[in-house]
Amino acid sequence: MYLYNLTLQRPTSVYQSISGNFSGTKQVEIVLNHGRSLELIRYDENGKMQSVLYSEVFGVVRSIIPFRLTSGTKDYIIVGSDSGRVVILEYNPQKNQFDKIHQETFGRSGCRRIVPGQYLAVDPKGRAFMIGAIEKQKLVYILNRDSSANLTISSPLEAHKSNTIVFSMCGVDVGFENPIFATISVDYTEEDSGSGSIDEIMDEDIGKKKKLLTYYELDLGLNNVVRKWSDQVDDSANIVMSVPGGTEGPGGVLVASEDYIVYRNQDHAEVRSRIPRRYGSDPKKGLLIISHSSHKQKGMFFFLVQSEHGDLYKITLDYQGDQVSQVNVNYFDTIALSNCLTVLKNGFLFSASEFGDHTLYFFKSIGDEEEEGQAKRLEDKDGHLWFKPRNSCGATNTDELKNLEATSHLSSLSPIIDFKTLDLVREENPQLYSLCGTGLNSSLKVLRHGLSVTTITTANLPGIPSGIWTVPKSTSPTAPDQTDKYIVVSFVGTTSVLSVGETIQENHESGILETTTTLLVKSMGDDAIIQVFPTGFRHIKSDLRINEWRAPGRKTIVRASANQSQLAIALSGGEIIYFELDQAGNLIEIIKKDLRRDIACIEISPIPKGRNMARFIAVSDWEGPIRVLSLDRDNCLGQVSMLDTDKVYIESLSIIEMQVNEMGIESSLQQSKKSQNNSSSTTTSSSAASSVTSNMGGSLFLFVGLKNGVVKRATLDSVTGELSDIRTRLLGRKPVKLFKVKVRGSNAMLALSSRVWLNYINQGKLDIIPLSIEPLENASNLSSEQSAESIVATSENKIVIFSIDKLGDLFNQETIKLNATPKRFIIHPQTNYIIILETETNYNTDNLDVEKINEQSEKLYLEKQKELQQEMDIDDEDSNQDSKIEPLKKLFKPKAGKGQWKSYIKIMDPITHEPLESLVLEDGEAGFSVCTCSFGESGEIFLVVGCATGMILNPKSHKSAHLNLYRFIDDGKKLELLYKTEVEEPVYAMAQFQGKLVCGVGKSIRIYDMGKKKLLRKCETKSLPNTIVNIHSLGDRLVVGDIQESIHFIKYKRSENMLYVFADDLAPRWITTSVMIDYDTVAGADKFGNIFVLRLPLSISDEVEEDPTGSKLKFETGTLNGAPHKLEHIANFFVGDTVTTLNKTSLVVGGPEVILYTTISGAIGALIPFTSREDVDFFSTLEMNMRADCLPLCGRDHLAYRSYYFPVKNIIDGDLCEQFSTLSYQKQLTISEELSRSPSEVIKKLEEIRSQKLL
Amino acid sequence: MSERESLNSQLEHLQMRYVGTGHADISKHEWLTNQHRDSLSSFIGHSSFLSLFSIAENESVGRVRYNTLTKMISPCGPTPKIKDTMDMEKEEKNI
Repeated sequence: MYLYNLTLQRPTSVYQSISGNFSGTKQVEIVLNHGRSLELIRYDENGKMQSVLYSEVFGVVRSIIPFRLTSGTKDYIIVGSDSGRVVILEYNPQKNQFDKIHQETFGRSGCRRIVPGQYLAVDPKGRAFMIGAIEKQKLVYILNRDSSANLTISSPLEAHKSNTIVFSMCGVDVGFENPIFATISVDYTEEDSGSGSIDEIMDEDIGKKKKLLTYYELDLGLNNVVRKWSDQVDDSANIVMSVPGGTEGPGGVLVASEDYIVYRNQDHAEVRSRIPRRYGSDPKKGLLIISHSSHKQKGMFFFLVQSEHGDLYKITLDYQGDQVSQVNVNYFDTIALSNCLTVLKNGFLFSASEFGDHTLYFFKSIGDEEEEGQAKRLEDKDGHLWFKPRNSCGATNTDELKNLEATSHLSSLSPIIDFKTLDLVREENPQLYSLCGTGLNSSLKVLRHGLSVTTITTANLPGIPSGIWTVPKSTSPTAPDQTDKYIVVSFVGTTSVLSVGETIQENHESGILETTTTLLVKSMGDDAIIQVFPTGFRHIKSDLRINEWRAPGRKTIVRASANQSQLAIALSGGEIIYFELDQAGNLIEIIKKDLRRDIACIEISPIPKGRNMARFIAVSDWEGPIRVLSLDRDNCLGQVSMLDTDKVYIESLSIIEMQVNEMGIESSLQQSKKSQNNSSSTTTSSSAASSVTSNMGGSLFLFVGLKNGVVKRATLDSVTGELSDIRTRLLGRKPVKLFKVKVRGSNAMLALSSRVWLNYINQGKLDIIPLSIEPLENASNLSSEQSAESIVATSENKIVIFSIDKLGDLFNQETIKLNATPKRFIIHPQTNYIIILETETNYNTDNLDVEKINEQSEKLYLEKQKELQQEMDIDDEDSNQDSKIEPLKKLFKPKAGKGQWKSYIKIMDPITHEPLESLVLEDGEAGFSVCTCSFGESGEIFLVVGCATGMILNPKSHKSAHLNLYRFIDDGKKLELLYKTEVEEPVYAMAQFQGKLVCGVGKSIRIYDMGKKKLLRKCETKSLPNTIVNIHSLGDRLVVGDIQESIHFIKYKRSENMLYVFADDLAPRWITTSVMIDYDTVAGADKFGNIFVLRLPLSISDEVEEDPTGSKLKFETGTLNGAPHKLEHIANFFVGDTVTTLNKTSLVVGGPEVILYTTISGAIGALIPFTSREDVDFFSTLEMNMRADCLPLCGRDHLAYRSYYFPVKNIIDGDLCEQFSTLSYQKQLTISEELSRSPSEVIKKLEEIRSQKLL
Repeated sequence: MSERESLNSQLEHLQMRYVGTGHADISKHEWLTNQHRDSLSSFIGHSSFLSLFSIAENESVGRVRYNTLTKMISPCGPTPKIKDTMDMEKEEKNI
């Protein structure tokens, strides 16, 4: 078996974000670290984000940092990864890719503890950077520029210190003195030297060791690094931040530790400040800062840090020269917990959430003093400062923010905890149901392939329209106003004109003939409008003068097409008449041609930039072929090329210009240009034209919509008119109609079939994706004052105006909120109701008494007030105003602590998503597994939930464990607890098995039957190693996954009522999930991110089946301390992050079954089985060549990366193969020659496998 | 003899260079401590692990990272007092 790995949804969690001017322009950009890929994001002044580049690195990105040379204007990206190398990247805006400019090797690959890569720090003045490991090693590189302004890198300088663990690192701002780097580290030598005794309680010592803040100075003159200064800091210190120095501030560092922010510098006394706490948080538990960012502008700087409760604090310093007198820590706002905060230069804040959507915020203000005063006044006797949070801990709702305003989100699925592809709503295509998020952000997300749209308005029309067009206000080149003036709707026999303004109203003064069916409306020349109808056409000038042209004789116009200055009409019978706009703005008939066949479609190509006329027209009769005709005067309407459609009826044609940035296409264009220059036949004018187009990067595409729902796309050479690189794609069941629209300011194409598809340019590539909207019949671009880019379309007798948002997404999400971190969900086999189990430990308590807290805080406040008044004896006027503390409207929810659990069982309607039942498990029970089961012959379905109380995860312990049996009542909408059955250990996996329940109780597999008062134990085997985490039952066989010891095959002997483990795996694998592929084959995934396929050898499978007594199994001795037989290992692959679920499913109707996997970081990928040996050979050769020619960005070897824990086997990496299109044309040529194909054929094949087997 | 010496020095060099390299007389505790430190640093390096733990414990990722780093200082507690191996064996027999 060979499989092809493709990422469907890229990882969406962001572990780190940095900002800078990576393009070298004024624009501030954000680079995101997704753990295994890098992404470049831009945002506009309204704070709308757009992904510009996504780049897979085939390595683990551990840290990134922006770097700018002294007085430079462009930021580079330094990447610390698992490759044992440091890489410096530069963003190349022309090619839209990251260029590797330096790669320095210093150690072994892998995330090892002494190999640098975990920490990065740069000198704020841009002279050097430090790269550090978690333990011991630190290297300093000096960066400079050479005479031609290229970045140069020095050999590394060592700053190692053995036996130290580094917590944080930053570059200290010292102006132009020798660069200094600061670290927080702990020396563990004492720990290992063995002073304690075994009887001592271990925990006491941990974290109580001396933590040191150390300055390392890089002496630029001597070219070495010395430890300059070292001093003890708080034991809980975890972050060191650099304070602006030189002329801009006092220099030095801020050290964040539990509850405190401390200013430190050499030869400076420490300045300590307490972090205010939110109400209700446990004062005994230290408050940790988890992320930080700083902002610096002329004359001021501040830090923004986030605590583990989600509260943001603004830190400012009071200082004089380089003497800091006070550190001010003020509550700022509360947002979702973030992995990384980035304050951007132009008043925005990007927060990369730990889980859930990432948000860009706009600073409405930068905080005020009042907040601080409030915290001060609420100081208690232990010195804690308290404040009233504006939002509950880590909440995502952004309405109650005071200083920030959310402007846009990057949607994120991370973490996907459970996932299934189902068609519960009975749509044509399956929906992807995924349980996402944690705590308050938990949700069930229903994903559908396609972009979400926002409907602006809908209205009913008197009849069924036959066409819809929009007319822009002005098209004159001097003052183009792209907002639209009219919407023209054509019906059978009539046409109505609607004017666009504040509202949309009917308009009768446009000059458009309203008593006829309209075939085409188009603005031409200087604000003139052309209207084509069956008996002729009208040319309406800007001053409403009308020129009318009548079709000759009895002929009628059947089709028409126009651009800014050209018009072609097709008459019944097959005659084409071609018109051009002359200097005076009149339409002049140029040529007439009889094709002698009825014309089905006609399409004039758009006018290339820098020219007055387009050079091609595409015409086709009903059965094809499609002919491309020239419009040049010397060969007017002469054929230049053709495209055959195999007699399939043609529905529509469209020629569109798009700015594709695919290397292959771009360079093949240049290639063809070259060949054109060489050949003598071309005129100088045409080669000039071609250079214009290739400078613009736009290429012409001919799209053909066919009756059978297929769309064909061909590249139309802008010089010769030749068609090449033909791609085909099935869009739906209905004939495909094509309409040009605009998205993101560039040309795009709507293809309407039984679904609505959008063809657009995404990150320089031509992408096609369905829209989540009802089927449409006609569409046109609409630009109004309210929305610059929307689409007006008709659907039956309705007119719909909508806009497309979240371009670049693959899935449209529907989110249903949940109460707590979800665990599992299943579908009731009869009612199709979704049953969700939610379990959260250390949960946010919501049964807190709000009134009591308010009372307490008020008391505290009043006391304080009294004290103040007594002390000062001043009647403060302000006190009248807020003599009463504002009662908390919202509840702050502190965490409950270890061993406290909260669990819900929810039943949800699959169509309305209405929760029917939300059952809370009693007595702090935690549910871990859920399963439906019908016992015996009765056929009634019960719900079984595996629960535990007082569960502590590490080290594992629990008070009691149960299997709870519930009966469905009220048509399956409600649950009723029948009884609980005590078990020794929590049950993580269950399945129905031959009318009984099989479950994994710790390391034993047990079969239960239903009894009157509890479940009755029927059969058991204890021969499994650790803890059973999943079970599949098939016939007499059970396939069981152990938490640490991979997959086991178990045979149930009915006659003896015995279970035997007859086969297991050789490798220890920490199973997270598994799925049966067939009776003998299982695919599984582990915590480390490996996916593997195991198969029971055929001979053993037969042997086991044919052994009627089971005696053979019984007496067979195990091999290698395990089962008698071993599973064959047939495929293996490293994905890059923890895989949470595997599903065997088919995403395309009638398509092949694939294995879908999901990961913690929100990625969805697929393993596609190959069906022919030929394909295997093709793709493995391609992969091999790609490995050699397309070296991964961070210096990791691709083969080594995919073989991280086990050697990669029989799985070809499609993500690598798809990078083929980003290679230079020369490389493409050499690789494709080895495959004996052309580059475009290779790209086509890569696209086909994705589109035919996936989405 | 010289071969043996060079082997020893090579080994010493390795141990100097690669923290965690074992030797013939490594104690169980030392070995285990190294194992734990290696694992913990791998968890920190592979960010998805921290996310996984953070979901399981319902703590923030920052807190989990801090805890993991702190654990690295002394993952298996202090070194037990060096006992005579003979004593150990005796004790075991007694048990």
